[in-house]
Amino acid sequence: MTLRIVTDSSCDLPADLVRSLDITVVPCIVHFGDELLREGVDIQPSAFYQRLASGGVHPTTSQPSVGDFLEVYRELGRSGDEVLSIHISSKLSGTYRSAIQASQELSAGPRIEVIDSLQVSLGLGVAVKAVAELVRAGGSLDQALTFLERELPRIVCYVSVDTLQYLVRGGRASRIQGFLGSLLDIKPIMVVREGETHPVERVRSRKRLLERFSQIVRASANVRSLGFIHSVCLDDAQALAGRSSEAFPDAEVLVSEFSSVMGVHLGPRALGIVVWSTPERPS
Amino acid sequence: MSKAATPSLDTLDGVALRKMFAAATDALEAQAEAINALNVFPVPDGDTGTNMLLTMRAALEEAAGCPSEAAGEIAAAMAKGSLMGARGNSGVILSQILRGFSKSIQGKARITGGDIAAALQEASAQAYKVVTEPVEGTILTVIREVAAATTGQILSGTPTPAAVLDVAASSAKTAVARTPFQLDVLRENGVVDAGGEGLSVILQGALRFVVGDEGPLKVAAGQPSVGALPIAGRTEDEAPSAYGFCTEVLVKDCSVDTGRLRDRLSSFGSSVLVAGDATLAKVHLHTFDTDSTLAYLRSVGSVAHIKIDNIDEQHEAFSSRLPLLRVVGVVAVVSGDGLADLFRSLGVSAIVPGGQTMNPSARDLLDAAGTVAAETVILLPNNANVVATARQAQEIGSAQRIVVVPTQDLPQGVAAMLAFNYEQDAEANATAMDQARLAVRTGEITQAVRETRLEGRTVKRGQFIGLAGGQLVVAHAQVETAVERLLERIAVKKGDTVTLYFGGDVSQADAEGLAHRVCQRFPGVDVESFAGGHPLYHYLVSAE
Repeated sequence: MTLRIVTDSSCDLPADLVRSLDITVVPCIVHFGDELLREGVDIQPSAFYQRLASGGVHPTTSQPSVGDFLEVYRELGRSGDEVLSIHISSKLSGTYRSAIQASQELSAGPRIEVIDSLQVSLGLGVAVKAVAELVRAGGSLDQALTFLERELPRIVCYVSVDTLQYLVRGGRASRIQGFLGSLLDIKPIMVVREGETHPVERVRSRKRLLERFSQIVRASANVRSLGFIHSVCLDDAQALAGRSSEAFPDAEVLVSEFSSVMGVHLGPRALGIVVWSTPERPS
Repeated sequence: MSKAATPSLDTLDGVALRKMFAAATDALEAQAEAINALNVFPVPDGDTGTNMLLTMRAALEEAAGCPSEAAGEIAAAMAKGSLMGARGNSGVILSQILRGFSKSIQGKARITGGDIAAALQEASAQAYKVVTEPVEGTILTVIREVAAATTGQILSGTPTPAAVLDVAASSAKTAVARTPFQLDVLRENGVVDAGGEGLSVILQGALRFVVGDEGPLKVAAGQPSVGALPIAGRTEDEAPSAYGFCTEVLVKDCSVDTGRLRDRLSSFGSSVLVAGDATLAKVHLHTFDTDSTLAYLRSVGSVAHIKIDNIDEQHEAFSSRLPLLRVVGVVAVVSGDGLADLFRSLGVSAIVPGGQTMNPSARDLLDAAGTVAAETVILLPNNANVVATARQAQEIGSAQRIVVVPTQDLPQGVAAMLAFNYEQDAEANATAMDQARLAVRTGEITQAVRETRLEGRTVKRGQFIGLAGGQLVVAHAQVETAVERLLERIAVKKGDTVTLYFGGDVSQADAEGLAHRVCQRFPGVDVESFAGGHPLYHYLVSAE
């Protein structure tokens, strides 16, 4: 019996890491009108942003269904494996609820633990990666749960957008409307805290945004992992990553692209940073 | 000064005191326009005469509603009315003078000349209390000189009100005449201080009443019509119906020029923007009548790319999800449609129209705050002439807590709003917003409304002048050059973001041309132009 790690495609972990750590990723669904595409399977981020920018039908996304999770859990349970299933914040997506329902259907089988990470994107991704490494090193399900309970709140994810039109179009801007300020070239910085998006500050110009992100990283201490997420602006993400890893040579640094779940709201040229500060050393 | 007239009064009761102040207000009304003309700065400015008159009227209105005949209570009502109605810096100081006066005679049914003398001492002290950096040669100097001249009469037998006011009025006149020697800017312009003159006129009006000379004051021709004066400060309706439909259209081969197009479109709606030129113009406006707007546009050119959004729906969808009571909201004093939209988009809950020449009263600010569902309201005066009024509103207070972030101009206000975070409490916001406003360097470009001097050289009326920190720093016949020199003066450097908020008198094309020129002149600087739509200032600039 082994312990299998399951997550969803919003974790934004690069495909090679997912493969090498044997993580099962349940795809979220992208809808272009009637066309349904499984994220990371039927459509990759680059194609997604191309279609998003082409101005055709505006896409929407949906969580994996209960059935999708049932299929995955059943498959893994067949070999008697335990499952630790870690997902995007339940306050931003219904994915966790689908997973929980599926796990309840299978309560008779091997143990399935479903965790609401209260994180998004690489904020979820770095935790999933760390747990997978912990399990590979022989960690038990209970050790993994203790680890997540302790470490998930220490991960902070900041996000900014280059244009507000996707947030507005997706209907996600209402709560933070007053913070966005669409008339000048303003980049709002938001933070995901306790699973929800909150305003942090607004800066003028993209140049300022990059500087500010760099400052936020440098002002951190005990950095274990850094994540840089982008949508069609790899150069900016890499530049930020380069500058940051100078400041924290021991930290793990991940760069990846926002998947469609976030991307549909953030639009092209969005940037995010993830800072995981912890006094504990990686096991 | 005093004429042979009907016997003067020995003491004043409330009724007489009210009449005395009414006479003083009449005198001020007769001189308001002349006092307005004493504007020393080459900048279109808040009209001191109008501001003081409106402040006195607010005082009288409150007194008229006071049922008591006791002098102390009438004075208290006047003080209260003037505190709420004070406009502009002179109005605020005048309201404090009335407040000091009223405090001194509190509880008295009738007042003697000695009481008036004592009250003038307290009035002077109170006026100085509200000014953090008193400047000589202003209304403050005048009230202090008046207090000094009348102090001897407090205990010297039993002077009549007329005797005390005679000394007060003549000492005020002398003090006003001296103001040009105390304040360089007055001497250079050959005028006396406007606020001081206003106080002097009030004292003379009061004197005329107590000596029994109730006839019309003989003054120079050209009585101002106060009814026609612009009164600032009606809070805009919070109703989302202020929006209508956000309409964007491309107009090709337009038969009228863009200026004309803009003017015409203003009759269809608000927030009108016209970019481009007659061959291809992009039009944006908020209107309820999209049909007529489009019909008009079709009559002047060929129309393409029509985009119409129902802003009310967007607004409603948003409003319905708002929490009932926020911890903190913001009220800003703003002039210009574009700037008002900008402030709203940054999270301001209510706008009080006004600014440089239309100074809102403390009551206007408090009324606007009252429309905001928040425990604490942050006030952004956005103009040096409004800061004192905002502080007055804070002091008067209301059911809500009022906090002033003393933004001196509109770009400082924008910087402060960028730092506003609705999730933070009032203290954290006030601190962050104050730091943000101080971190941005700002300046203003307008045309000199009178001849003046700058660094030994004459600046002609009509020249473009640049101000930084309220000081005249550059002047040039060409607006573009004036802006560039102003940017040099506020030390624009590589890496800065410069914003050019252009006024209603500047075309989008001119502003964009200037933005381009500034980009070339200052390498490594990001320049953004924004249609503020504000009056008087061709450009408001900021660098950060």
